[in-house]
Amino acid sequence: MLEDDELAVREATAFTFRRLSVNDDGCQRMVQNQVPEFMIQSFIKHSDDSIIASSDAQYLIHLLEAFVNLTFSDLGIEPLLGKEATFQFTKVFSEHYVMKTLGEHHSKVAELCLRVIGNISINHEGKQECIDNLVIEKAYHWMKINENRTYN
Amino acid sequence: MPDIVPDQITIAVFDRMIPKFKEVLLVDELEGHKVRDALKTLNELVHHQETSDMMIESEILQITAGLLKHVDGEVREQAALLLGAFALSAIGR
Repeated sequence: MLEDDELAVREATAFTFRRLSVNDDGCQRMVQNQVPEFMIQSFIKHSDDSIIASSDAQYLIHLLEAFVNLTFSDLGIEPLLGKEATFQFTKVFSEHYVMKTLGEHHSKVAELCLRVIGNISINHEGKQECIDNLVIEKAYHWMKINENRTYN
Repeated sequence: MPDIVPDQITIAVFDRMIPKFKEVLLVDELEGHKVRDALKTLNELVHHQETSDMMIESEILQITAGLLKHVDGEVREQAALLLGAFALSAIGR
């Protein structure tokens, strides 16, 4: 369903996973059924520079919202480790091609990527992945005063 | 012409409403646009707590899960949205 030919179906599926991830029971069911693995594969594919499209923004946002909920516990973080997830989240919030393609949606996507990475970094192995991917250096841009900064 | 047309999309009332939808969704080889319309109506009705409980009791979720593989993209979309509406319900999950 996450790789359906029709964007509307992918969006509806990601929306369903986002809703399912709202509580702990839903997260557990998702992890038991290897849903995070499929979600991250799809996220990596659809945020890749060769395939990313502005129409995919809402789909990516639904997936990221679900990742934010899933990564509140080690149970949800572990399926994402060793799968280039941290690398891709870092790439999405820091590289110019994403900003150019997603336009007005980029701030929201970047904010959610940073939140997921923040959650992943609570885990010991996740923190190492963040260090390996130079997350602090690349996230520094968002701490400087500019129009994209969402806090004072 | 039979008196009852099984695939006719009509909205029954009260306790008959959801079982009627169930019967329609279970019709073999029902046209895609009729399945889609039935699911759209169910998506509108699902926000009412009593109706959503009735959908769970009538096994609408199991039938809807089967429709995720339907050839019509709009049917798949509406089926996913309907299942998503139950994601916050402990009984629905």
